[in-house]
Amino acid sequence: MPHRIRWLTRAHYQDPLVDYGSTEFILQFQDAATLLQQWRNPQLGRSSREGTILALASNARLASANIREMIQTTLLSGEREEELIEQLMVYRFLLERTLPEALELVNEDKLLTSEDILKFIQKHIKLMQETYGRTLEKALSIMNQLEEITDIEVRDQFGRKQKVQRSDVLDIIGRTLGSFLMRQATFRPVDDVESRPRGRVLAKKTYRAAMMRSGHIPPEDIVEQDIRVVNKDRLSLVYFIVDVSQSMGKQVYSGGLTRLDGALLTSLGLFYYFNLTNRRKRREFDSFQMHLVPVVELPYVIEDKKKLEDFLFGAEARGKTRLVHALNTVVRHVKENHKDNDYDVQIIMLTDGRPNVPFEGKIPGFVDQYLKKYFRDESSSTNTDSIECMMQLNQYFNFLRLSKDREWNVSYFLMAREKFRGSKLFRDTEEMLRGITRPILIDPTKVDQLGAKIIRETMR
Amino acid sequence: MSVEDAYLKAREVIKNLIGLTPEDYQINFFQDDTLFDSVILQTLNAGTPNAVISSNEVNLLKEVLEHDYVPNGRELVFLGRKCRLYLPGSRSTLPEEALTAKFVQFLAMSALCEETKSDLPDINDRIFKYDAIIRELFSNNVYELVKERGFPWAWQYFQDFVASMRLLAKYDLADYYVPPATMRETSVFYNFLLEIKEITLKRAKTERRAPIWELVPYGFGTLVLREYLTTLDESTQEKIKPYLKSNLGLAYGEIGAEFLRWNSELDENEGKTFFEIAVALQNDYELVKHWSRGETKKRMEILR
Repeated sequence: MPHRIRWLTRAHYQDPLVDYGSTEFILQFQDAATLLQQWRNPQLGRSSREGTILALASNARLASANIREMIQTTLLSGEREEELIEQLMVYRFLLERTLPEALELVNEDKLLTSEDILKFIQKHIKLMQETYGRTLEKALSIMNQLEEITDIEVRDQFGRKQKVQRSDVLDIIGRTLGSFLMRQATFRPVDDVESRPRGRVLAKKTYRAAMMRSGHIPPEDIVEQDIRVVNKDRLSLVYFIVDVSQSMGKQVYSGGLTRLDGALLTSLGLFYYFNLTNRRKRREFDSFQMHLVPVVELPYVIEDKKKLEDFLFGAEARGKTRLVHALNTVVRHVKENHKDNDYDVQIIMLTDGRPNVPFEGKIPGFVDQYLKKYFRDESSSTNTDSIECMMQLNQYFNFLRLSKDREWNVSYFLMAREKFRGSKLFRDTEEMLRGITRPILIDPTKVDQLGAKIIRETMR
Repeated sequence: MSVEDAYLKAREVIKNLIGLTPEDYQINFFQDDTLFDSVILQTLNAGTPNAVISSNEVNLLKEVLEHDYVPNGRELVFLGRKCRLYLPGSRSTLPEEALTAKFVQFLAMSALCEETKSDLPDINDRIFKYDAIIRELFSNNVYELVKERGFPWAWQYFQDFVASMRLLAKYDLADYYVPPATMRETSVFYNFLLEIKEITLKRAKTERRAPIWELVPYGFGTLVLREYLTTLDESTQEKIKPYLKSNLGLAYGEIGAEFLRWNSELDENEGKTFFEIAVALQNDYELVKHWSRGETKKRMEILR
């Protein structure tokens, strides 16, 4: 073989089209949060959709250029050549007519749902038929690429792109945001303790029981009746009371997040946290039964998980704040549906702390005279209706706290920024919840940073 | 062996047709045809077979590969002073006459590249060298990061970095990235980045000076190939023509050949061979400047 002819192998020459970036994709909490926001508000994902169209255009350009080159230079069978010519026609139409129009529509936010896109594709396939005078077989499969517009693409911190599924995102949110929130809230642990020698032993409680029985420190011996193990078969009812009133529509957080966004993000976080725990415990039944009560004119209970999730994705802020009504609905729901058992009830209120419609019916329990005095002496700026509502809430909470039938727990999340802590309303709320729980200020933008930190630490 | 026979025969043919044979060139067969598919897509897109392309481009080209829109019927000719031909290994099993014809065309172009007064072969050589340097620098530095330090993302990161630097430099936007000079001392990799920036800038400068010189070599190649084909008997021509689709199908080859024929009819070129005419042309403009736009259009219509 003459020296000027060489044979190249992969050892001489690397394949230039190997994508070395396709290692494992790392989805971060921030991405998950922005994605959720985009799903809730499709207008926010516009630039991503425009990017998709531009990517489709560059694909089509490259494809048509290569097909042209191929037809000119490569030996092809007749069938294949006809097929390629057809595809070239479709790509040309795509480049000249379809994609410019799609870009314009996306820019005007008119091409949002998959139904819109399907209609758009069908319209253009018809147009193509009119232009070329015949149906092109390949048209539909190529045009269907447009469905990618609805997908949302994220980049991780190394710039890698990935189309992410909804469940991935929600797992992340449940893991980070949920566990962070759980640390703040005053939930009782769902696992109760009983003396039974099987299962996971709680050493500290067992030790204490032995001390109490024997009256010695340290105890002389531990007998079977001292042993405390985890009772895994407890069940807890969770009620989210989500305030969707007009005032929740106000943008208070950085990045244009409204209070409602915060509330929904928080409840989603908790929802997926509970879901995750349910999944992890691997029992026949879920240890957390979740319900949602939107604060609307006639509050109702959503039990179905799918509907609950849909509500959290699609809620809008409107109407007045009927917190007491919603609480009453919860109590009624528990009493009607769980008359015969003593499941714990966790009430999670997500609000901006401005109830403004007093409850007309009868509330059990008694008015706290101390709180009444506090409001009489202190409040001048707070709305009288709000004060009335807070008194009613306090009365209801106190009644629930003292009721013997089951354990009632209340968590009160306030959607506001950190500086709200110094306000009069916050002090009023604190006073109202005295002896019951403490209000928790939630700033989702701050939680975001914390969540990211948690992920970073856990990944290390 | 048929490749060797075809090659030696092609050299003889060229010597008879032009009067000389090229001396510095390379014929590269890719043992793996799929590797050639990748290389042809990358080269048509980025210029040289050594160019480092960004992951975005890689993804786009991969999609093309998936749809099987690869023009792998054509052979890649890199027009340097040292001309390079890249072709898939499966071509070596073609009929000997077809292979000879392919080599004849390439050797004609190679001879033209060696002798031409145009700057393009020199510039192409330099670009080829710069790309090779960038590639070596890139893979040596990143290899350590990926393999020894365990940063799997580094490959893609630097690949994208180099590719976007090349793009920015090409459109004279390299000032977009101005690292401080003290960065050299920070680490070997920053040093590498600065080095890459310098080389990409040089490459861009060279690239901007390149004249358009495409009709002339491809036209000359086609012309010689056609001349060679006329010397064969008709049955052989019938037999090998399908395999020469890539050699005769390129539009600029055909148009270039036609322009060369018109050039030979000019008074100033009387008595000159096609090779002498083609060697004297510094760029495509000199090839086409004798005819006005309207006139060219008319002549082209007749050609069709």
